[in-house]
Amino acid sequence: MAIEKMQKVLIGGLREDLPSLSRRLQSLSILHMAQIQEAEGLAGAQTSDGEARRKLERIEAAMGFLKNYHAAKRGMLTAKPEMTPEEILDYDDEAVFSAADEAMALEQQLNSLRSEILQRQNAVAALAPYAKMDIRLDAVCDTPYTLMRLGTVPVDALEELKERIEPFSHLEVFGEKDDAAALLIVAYRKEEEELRLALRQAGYSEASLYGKGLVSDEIAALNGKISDLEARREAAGAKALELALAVMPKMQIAFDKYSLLTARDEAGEMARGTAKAFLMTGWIRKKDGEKLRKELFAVCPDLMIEDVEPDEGEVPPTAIVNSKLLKPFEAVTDMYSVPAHNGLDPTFLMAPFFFAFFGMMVSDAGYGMLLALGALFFLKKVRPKGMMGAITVVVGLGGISTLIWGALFGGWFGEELLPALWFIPMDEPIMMIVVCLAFGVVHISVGLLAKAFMLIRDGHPLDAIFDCGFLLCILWGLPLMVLGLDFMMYVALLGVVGILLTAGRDRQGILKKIMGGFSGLYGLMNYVSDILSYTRLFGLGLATGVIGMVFNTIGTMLMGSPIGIVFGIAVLIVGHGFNLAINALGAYVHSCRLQYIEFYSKFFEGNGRAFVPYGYRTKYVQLKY
Amino acid sequence: MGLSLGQVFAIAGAAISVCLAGVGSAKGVGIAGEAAAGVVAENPDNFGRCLVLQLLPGTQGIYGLLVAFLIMIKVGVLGTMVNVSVENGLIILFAASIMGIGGLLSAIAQGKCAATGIAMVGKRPEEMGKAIIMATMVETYAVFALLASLLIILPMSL
Repeated sequence: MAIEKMQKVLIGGLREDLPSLSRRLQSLSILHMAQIQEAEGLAGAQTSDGEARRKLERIEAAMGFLKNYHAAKRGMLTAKPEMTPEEILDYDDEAVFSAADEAMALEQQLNSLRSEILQRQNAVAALAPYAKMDIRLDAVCDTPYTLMRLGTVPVDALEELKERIEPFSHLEVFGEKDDAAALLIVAYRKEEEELRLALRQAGYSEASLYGKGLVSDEIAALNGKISDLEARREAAGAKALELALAVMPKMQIAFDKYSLLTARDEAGEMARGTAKAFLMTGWIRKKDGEKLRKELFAVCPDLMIEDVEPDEGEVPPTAIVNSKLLKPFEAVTDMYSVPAHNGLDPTFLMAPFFFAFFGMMVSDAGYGMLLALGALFFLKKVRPKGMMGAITVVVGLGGISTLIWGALFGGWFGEELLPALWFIPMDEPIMMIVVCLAFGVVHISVGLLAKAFMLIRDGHPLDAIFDCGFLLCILWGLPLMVLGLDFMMYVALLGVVGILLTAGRDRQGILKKIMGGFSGLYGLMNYVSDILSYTRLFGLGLATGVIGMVFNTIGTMLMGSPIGIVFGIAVLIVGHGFNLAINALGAYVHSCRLQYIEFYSKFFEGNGRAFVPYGYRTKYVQLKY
Repeated sequence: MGLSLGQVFAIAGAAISVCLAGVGSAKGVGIAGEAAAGVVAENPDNFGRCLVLQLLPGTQGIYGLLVAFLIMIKVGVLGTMVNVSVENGLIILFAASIMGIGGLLSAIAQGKCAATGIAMVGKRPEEMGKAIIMATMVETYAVFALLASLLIILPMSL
């Protein structure tokens, strides 16, 4: 539940030790590599020949092609294979590269087949208008006294052209395509100039036709060739599918193998060195200092490891630690922004509210059970990791919260199957709105307290009172006064006066200070709208309940006859499934929104860089140790 | 079956709510869908992400239907009709218009926002969460419209 202290370290050693050191660092996964500052005499200490990256690119290209065939046949819920890093690195990839070559050859073959087919289809399209012409194409040629032309003119210009060249030519129209008429023109050679002029004005364009024989024969021959090519294309496609099914899993493992090796190369590129020695730098968690030294000296004793100050303007990466239960909620924050390294990790403040809000917005005990069980099933079956895994856990926990709120509000699949433990929001809307607003006040207060904590921590206790304390007075004073605690009026008044006097304290001149005070008071409007925003808890909860009720009404209406019962049950299953899906999505994003906009705006400092230690990162294989 | 003027107003309210909000959602989902098709054409892997974003402007239609159903249940369209005074009928009509108009306009605005979000996902799929949050900002006002409509209609005793 906190942001770790970071320490920058400088590691120096013999160049020949770099590869073994780099391997150890990768398996330790505790150093966030940083670029070493350029200095005279230091060059890249890269020792690799880029072989790993070239192999990775080869596999990636083959996978990019095979993916299209593989995707269609893959089940939705399949877990990734589990392997240790050593198993991945020792993976025998002999077959993978020959398969990759085969895949690339298939892709090339498919591409050339595709373009050949296209070429012939274009030729057929050009020939098609002349299909009825009973002259061989090689007979269409100029003679000593005549000219023969095959081409098209726009349909609107046809009549005019006909009239104009009538005296010295014969013109035949074979067909029309896209508002252009396909023509054969035979004219006297001595009128060539006149013909050319007339044709140009009519917008004539010469047809370029493929073949020598009769047009209909040529078309038939081309179509025969096309179906032949299509058959070959299908055969190649089938082969690609077969190949994809056979090698895709192996390729994925090989892909991860070479991404691990490429990561090693990249780490090597970050190091700088001379002919004999190297230097590298990076960030570790402060508490890992001992471990780093112990482990690295064990690999090679001739090392120098030093704690150093960060370069000017260099910002340490942010590493966050949280308990296992809170960890998944980090995903919610990460979606917004990584906390600044000197800020506050909001996870432990945000998680309880996220939990409560999610449940309130779905607020149906039946749905809650389904969500929790569904998430559990997904976790067991697919074992998602990273962002996906975290969100699944958050939704699963949200399901539990939904179960609780549903029981409190008496919502079970849109009906009141069990009596509400607290009250029914639909019958007491005012009560429900008060509950929502109260949640808002508490949530925002926690945000303000977090800000006050940070201000005090940084040595500004007065700012904490002026910027947070007075606001809290108003935030709690006004509602409690309305609820009948008369003396709270004075607390609220203290807040108002306090803000009026202190909000402009940074400004120059008495007039500006007074203006600042008033604008601070006006800023309270933002808090009003922030708190009203929490009524969405009611709105979305209501939507779930009423939509569920609607489906129940339709379902029971249908259940009058035996066939109706089948339809009714179908309506109930599909309807509730739909309602659950759309409301769980809504609850998730609106819970996020309440955190980001209403809560984080009060204290959160983002724009940090995540701490990403140099280690094993895989895409298709689940790592186990 | 003769209807009183009040009942006619109430049913008109149901019609306005479901029609206007539905039209808005249809437009919004359509706008987002066009953008999604373009992005999916570039990279079919983005289909799932785009679908979630395309779905977002669809909720207004559901809210509209929800208000309409509540009115129908109140007035008894699904069973025996309840007597509705002209005043109450008009109140229901106006309350339903909140959801209708609010849903219509917010769904279209949300559709546009979702469409640009989808374009963003096309370029940077990992930023999908941010695109969703932006589109959700618009949805706030549909939720408020729903809340206002329901708060008027729910406590009414006809």
